[in-house]
Parts: sequence; C-alpha cells; structure tokens
Amino acid sequence: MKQRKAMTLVEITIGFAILTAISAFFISFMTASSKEISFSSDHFNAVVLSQKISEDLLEEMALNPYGLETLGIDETIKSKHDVVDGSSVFFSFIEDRSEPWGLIEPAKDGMINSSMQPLYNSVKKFKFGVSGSRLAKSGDHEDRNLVACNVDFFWQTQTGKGAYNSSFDLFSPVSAKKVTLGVSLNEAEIDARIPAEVYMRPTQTVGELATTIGENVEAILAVGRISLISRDFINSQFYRDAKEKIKGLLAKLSTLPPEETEEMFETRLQLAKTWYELAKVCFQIVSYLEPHFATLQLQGKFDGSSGSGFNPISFQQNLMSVRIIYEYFVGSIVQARYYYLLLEPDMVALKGNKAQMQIIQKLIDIYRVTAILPVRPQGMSEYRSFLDRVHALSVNRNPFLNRMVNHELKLVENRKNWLEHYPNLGRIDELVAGKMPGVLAFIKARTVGMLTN
Amino acid sequence: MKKLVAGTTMVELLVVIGLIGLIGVAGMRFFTSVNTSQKAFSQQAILQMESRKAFDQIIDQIREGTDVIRPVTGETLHYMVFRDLINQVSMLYLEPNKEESNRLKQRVYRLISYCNDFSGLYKKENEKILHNSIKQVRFSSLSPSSVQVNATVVSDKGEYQFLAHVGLLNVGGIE
Repeated sequence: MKQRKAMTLVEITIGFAILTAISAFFISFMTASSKEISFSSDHFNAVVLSQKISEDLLEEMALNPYGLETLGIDETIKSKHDVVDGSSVFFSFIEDRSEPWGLIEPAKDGMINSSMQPLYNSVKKFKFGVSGSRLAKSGDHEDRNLVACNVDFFWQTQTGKGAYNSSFDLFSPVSAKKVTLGVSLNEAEIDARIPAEVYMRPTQTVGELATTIGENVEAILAVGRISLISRDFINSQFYRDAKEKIKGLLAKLSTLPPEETEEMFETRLQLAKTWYELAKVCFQIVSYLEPHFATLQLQGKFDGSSGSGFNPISFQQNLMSVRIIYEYFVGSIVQARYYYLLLEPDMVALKGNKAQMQIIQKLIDIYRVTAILPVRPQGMSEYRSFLDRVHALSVNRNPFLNRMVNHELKLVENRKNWLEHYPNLGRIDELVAGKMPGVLAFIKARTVGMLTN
Repeated sequence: MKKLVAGTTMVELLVVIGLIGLIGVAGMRFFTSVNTSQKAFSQQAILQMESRKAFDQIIDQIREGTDVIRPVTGETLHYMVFRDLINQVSMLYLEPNKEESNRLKQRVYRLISYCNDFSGLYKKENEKILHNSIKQVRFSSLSPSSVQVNATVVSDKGEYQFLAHVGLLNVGGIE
C-alpha cells in the first residue's frame, strides 16, 4: 500500500518564502501607486494654489506698478509661508464668513483655517515663496516694464520633498513713455507761413528775414511758432467745438430732473471727458511751445524790447494766448476732476464696480497732476484727502487697491521720491513747476504794457 | 525484514492543517485588502479627475465674463452674477439634486450656469449643468475684475475642495 507523506518543515518554509515574495511584490506595487496618486493630488493642489497667486500678482501689478515692493517681494525668496492660518497675504482674504457682512477680515474670516474642510487638510502641508524682479532694474528700456515672477511650492511627500515652480512675466509699466509730451505738428508747414503771417514779409524766406531784421533764425522761428500755434489753437475748430460742447452739456445738466440718473450720469461723464481732453491738448501745446520761450529768454533783443521786425501788439496778443492756453490746461484738469468726482458715488448703482474702479484710477491720475501744479497749492492736501477716502472704501474689501493706496500715501510724504516713482509725472512736474513759472513771468513782463494801456 | 514506513501522526497532520489554515487566512486577508486599497486608490484618482473637470468648467465659464455684478467687492455669496462682452447676464447658482442626495445620503446640489439672452424668456438651451454633485460653493469678490471660487465636489468616492482665483476678461467698463 502506498503511503502519503505529510509536508515537511522545509516545504512549509519554502511555501512561506514564496508567499512573502508575492506579498512583497504586491505591497511595493500598492505603495508605489499610493505614492503616485498622493503626489498627483498634491501636484494638482500646488498648481491650483500657484494659479491663485499668479492671479493675485496680476491684479496687484495692474493696479500698482510697485506692487512687488508693496508686498515685500524681491528677486530672492526670503521666507516660505504656509498656505493656511493667514500666514501669507495671498491666502488671507478668502471669503466673508462672519459679521460685519461685506468685509473680509484677514485675521477673522479671511484665512483658510481648520473650519474649511477638506481644503484645510489637503493644503496645510504646502509652503510657498514668491520672488520677482524687473527685467531691467533701471533706465528707460522696455524691459523695465516687464516683471519676471516665480512662485515656488514645497511640500513633504511620502518619499521626501515635493516641489512645483511656476514662472511668468507681467507687464507693468514704470518707465517714461517713449513719446514727446508735446503736440505733433507739421513744423515745415508752420515755418513756411512765418515770414508772411508774423513778419509781414511774404516774399522772404526765414533765412532772408534773419538777414533783413538782424536776428538769428532760431529766435525768428521761436517768435513765429509761438505766434502762429497759439493763434491757430485759439481759432481752431477743436477749441471752439470743445467750448460749445461744454456749454451745451452744462445747459442740459441744469435742466435734467434728478430722477433721470442714467442721463445725468452720461452727461457728467461727457463733461468730464471733454474737460479732460481739452486739458490734454492745452498741455501738449504748452509743452511744445515751452522750449521756444527758452530760446527767446536767451535772446537779448527780445529781453530788452518788445521785439524786432514784427508787430509787437500781435506778439503780445499771441503771448497772452499762450497764457490763456496754459490757464485752460489748469482749469480744465480741475474741471475734469470735479465731474469725474461727481460720478464716483453714483457709479456702483449705475455702472458697476469695474467702472467705479476705472473712475478711481482716472481720478488718481488727475489728482497727481493737480497736486504738482504750483498755481494750486492745496492740490497735495486734496489728493491726500482723496486717497484717505479710497483707503476707507477699500479696507477689507479690495486688498489690491488698499495696498496701492497705502503705498501711495507713504510715497507722497517725500515729493522727490514720489516723482521718481512716476517718470511721466516727473516730466509734467519739470514743465509746470520747473519751467512754466519762468515762462509766465516772461509773458507777464512782455504783456504788462498791453494790460495797462 | 520488511521496511517500515512511518505514517503521519495525527499531531503532525493537525499542525500542518493549522499552518495552511493560518497562511490561507492571512493570504485571503491580504488579497482582500489589496483589492480594497486598489479600489480606494482608483476612486481617489477618479475623484481627482472629476474635480479637475469641474474646476476647469467653472473657471472657463467665469472667464467669459467682463464685469462681476454680484458679489460686490468684499462680499461672499453662494451664487454669482456677471456680464459678458455682449452684455448678456449669466448666473452661476446651486439647485438641489434630490437623486444624487439620496444616493450619496447627504445633501448635494447641481451647479447651474444660466445665460440670459436678450429675449428675456427662459430657454432650456441657455442652461448648462456644470456639475451634478456640489456640496457647497462660495464666490468672493476681491476686486471688480476677479472672483474667488471655493467649491466642494462630492462623489461616492469622497470629497474634494478647491479654491481658485479667476480673472475676468480684461475689457468692459466705461472707457
């Protein structure tokens, strides 16, 4: 009879070994897929969170070219922040969860905290750092208007460390515009009219004129251009149309019943825009003419007499026109500010928040100009007071605007530093505060006879 | 002399059976847990994919807007109203989803996008279901040109919550 043998210990041990080998294979497979899924989940979270930071930076830089400075960001990552518990400004204004309603308070209801599940648990492991710098650190090169940003996320994984980097460039202009502030004119055409229309010598060229009246060409051209351009502008269709349009809009505004809010809004907006456009063109003309006054101020003959070889009365009238144009610039910019300000409180109800923001941005631009006008000494305090109002409007509602206003309020404490931050404003200041007082004094000295006679 | 072959004793037999039983139980448990974990992992992966899809759909929808009407800046709401480039008004809002709620044994909602065209009439084709089981959604406005979305997507595989900051089309307004 055949006898069957039971399993020996060796056989059982081999069985165990085989099973262990199979288990090890399965365990390593399962661990790998668990790690893979967990990493993929973390990576997705890092992408989404990084996207939020890039959107925040986009908003910040669109509103304030010095946004990185305001946020304390420079070219190196100095410290890493947690995503949760209000560790960073980027995740401090999430939503409004408690009273007072309509305000997102960063320390109270703005942050991601343990009450926000499952988000809190899935993002609490993340730390991040932001760096950024302008492609050109100084100068007027176009690269200075581009900001290279880097957002780096770090987190602990089962195998070690996870990292995700996102890099992008933002357009945020801080360099002076590559355009002349003056109006673009056909100088050749104007110069050709000078002998006939300013010096009453239609048969001569400017060169011949210089010989006849014993004056240099530059001074002749300066007198000619000042005379013709100021005269042409005062008689221009643009100037007449603008004045007529303003008159018409004011008349319409005075007859509008208060309940016609939409029409009232549109009329005020048209008035603001017309005044602003007039201010812009007047400034361009003054800006173009100013160097010609510098030429005249250097010419002895013009300094000691009422002119030579041209009708001094006409010249005086033309000088007065320049003064009028400058005063129109000052008056129009103040009027534009007034009508834009009248729109501001009504904007939310009528046109929405975006339009209100545009008005605020426009007003900041205008207030900056009126703050540097020497003829408006109260301009800076008016600007500060406006900034205080915008600050009150933005606090715990619009963190980007709030930071921008705080930054601006600090900048205006040091006028020189403030103007250096805004090169275009600096150029306007150079003209209105640096050069125009001299030009106006020159005009006054030349036209005093005209005023007293 | 006839050679005697030793038989297996009862004790040996019991020990072997016991060992095989133990190994069998351990093996069964192991394969069951492998199976369960694998299911959980694949469900997690599916949840993630569904969440990504919901995330992309919501973001795409909002990006078509030019102006946020509600929430106003600083406000947080469970719905959002915005205007697009051709002045159509769209709404994103939640609607109870009873079937899904019963199935998942918790209250969930459909996230609906409705674009109101100029006719002023309800049209089925203007309605789009962005997601079928959303536990909560909150829209917060930090500036007039962007909105933050905080949404929790639910499925039988679990929950996933995401937070996105969406910039609107950079046009519109009065200028």
